Amino acid sequence: MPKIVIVEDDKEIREELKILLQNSGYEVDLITDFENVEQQILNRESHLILLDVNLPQKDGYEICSKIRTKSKIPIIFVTSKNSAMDELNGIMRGADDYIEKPYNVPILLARIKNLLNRTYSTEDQDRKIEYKGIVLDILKSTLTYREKEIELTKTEIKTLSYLFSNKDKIIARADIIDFLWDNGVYADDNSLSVIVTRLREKLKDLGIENLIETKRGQGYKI
Amino acid sequence: MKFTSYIKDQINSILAFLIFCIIIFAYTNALQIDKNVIFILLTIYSLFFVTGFFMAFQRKKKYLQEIEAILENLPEKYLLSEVMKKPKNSEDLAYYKILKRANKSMLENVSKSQKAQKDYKEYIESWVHEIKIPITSAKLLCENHKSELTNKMDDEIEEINNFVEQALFYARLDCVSNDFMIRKVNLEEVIRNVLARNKKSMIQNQIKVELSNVQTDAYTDEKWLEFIVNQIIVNSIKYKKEKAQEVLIGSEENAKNVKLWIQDNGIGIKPSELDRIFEKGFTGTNGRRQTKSTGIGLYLCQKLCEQLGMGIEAESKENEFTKITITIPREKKIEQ
Repeated sequence: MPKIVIVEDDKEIREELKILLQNSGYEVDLITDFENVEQQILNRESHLILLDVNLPQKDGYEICSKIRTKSKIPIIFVTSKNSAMDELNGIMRGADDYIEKPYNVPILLARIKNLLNRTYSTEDQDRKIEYKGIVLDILKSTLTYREKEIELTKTEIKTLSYLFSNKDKIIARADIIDFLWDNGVYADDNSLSVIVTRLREKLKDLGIENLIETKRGQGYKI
Repeated sequence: MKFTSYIKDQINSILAFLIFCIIIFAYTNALQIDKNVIFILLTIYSLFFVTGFFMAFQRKKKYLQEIEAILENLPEKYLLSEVMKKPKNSEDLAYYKILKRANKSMLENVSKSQKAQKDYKEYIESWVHEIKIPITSAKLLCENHKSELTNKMDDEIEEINNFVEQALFYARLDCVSNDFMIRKVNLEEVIRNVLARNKKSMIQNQIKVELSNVQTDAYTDEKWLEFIVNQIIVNSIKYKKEKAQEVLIGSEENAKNVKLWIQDNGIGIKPSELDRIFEKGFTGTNGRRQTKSTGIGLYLCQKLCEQLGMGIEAESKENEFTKITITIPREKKIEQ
């Protein structure tokens, strides 16, 4: 499990961010004593640092420069200072990314994930999802069943992969739409119906019927 | 300075000269001096007077022209006394000193209010910075405790955040120090950030978005552009029709610019009001129907575009659509 160190002086943000990251599958370590932060960070052997700029003792820029003299650990600045100069300043000190407060949670999580992947090349191994003999290949965007293969659109792949990873549960339409928005498909309720209808047609072509059940007034179930 | 008005100014000395001539003539006449001699003497005297008169006029005219030329080329006209030459003529010198004193007091006032404006801007900047901390934790709290209630709260908090940003960009508007940095910006990334910000209210309002050909680079400030696009998207959400709201975002390139357009099929703008939507405080029929309109959003957009060397324009048909087009340079312009 990748470990993330949070350097943030606001207690509320620190604690909530910890819960958020833990819920997203990260191990979290908090810095609560702002004396000699860089040494504390280096001692903790983590995979990524979320660093605030305005801190009680030294500012984040200074801490970042000091860490950079000893380590290449990925650093993301998380700050409410939002001018271009602030960002430039952060990048000049060797930070890998710069995110503004209040951050958008999906964006924050995506940036963390991207940076971890880039640094440790831990690109998701399971690019193929299998369910009842149906294989969904996300990289190739294909669906295979009994040696028959069909191509899916990006939207269809995203929808189906979300359904696959939540099998045996009733998934609310709103949750699917929310997931699609986080993944760059800006659908509304009607377009979701269209996507599911198309998916069912394609599944039928493969000889699969009744895979996606409609639960009236609730959503879908696989 | 006109010659006639100069004569008017000098009327006393001209009269004095004429009276003097008459007196001389009468006196010499009484002494029975040869009339020819008197005539020659008076002619010579008059020649001297008239030449002197003209020379004085020319000198004054030239002097004033010089000052006016300096004034013409000076952007801050109130700095005139700092730039103009110190005159030699005692009368001019006296005026020069008066002008200098008046200007000095003006200068003090100007720098005082400039400093006050700068202080205020810095205060707004730091205030915005401070208030974003509780906004951030409130948003995180909503995220970590998802429910119908927190979803609504999150929506409201996003609206607060939007108003806070308006205040920040308003403070940044007419400032001497420019807080932007022009560099290569990917339009798609900016658009996706804005859509992510408005995700909740767009889903709640059943809005569908389609992007076409937005994978383009242009030269601008990323944060400023994000702010501008956000204002436009927020308007599309606010002024939607009852159902089937769609937002189309796309771009076109030509040799010099990228035109980024955002079109919705909302309630549109009346033709009579279309020219005024970028005016400060203008809310129009649509805005008055909505209680939350301030008439600041689009005004800020236009001002920010101006500063970044971008264009912004609106097309609309009432009850059909509104299309806002932002023109962004494709190349980095050389700063003048």
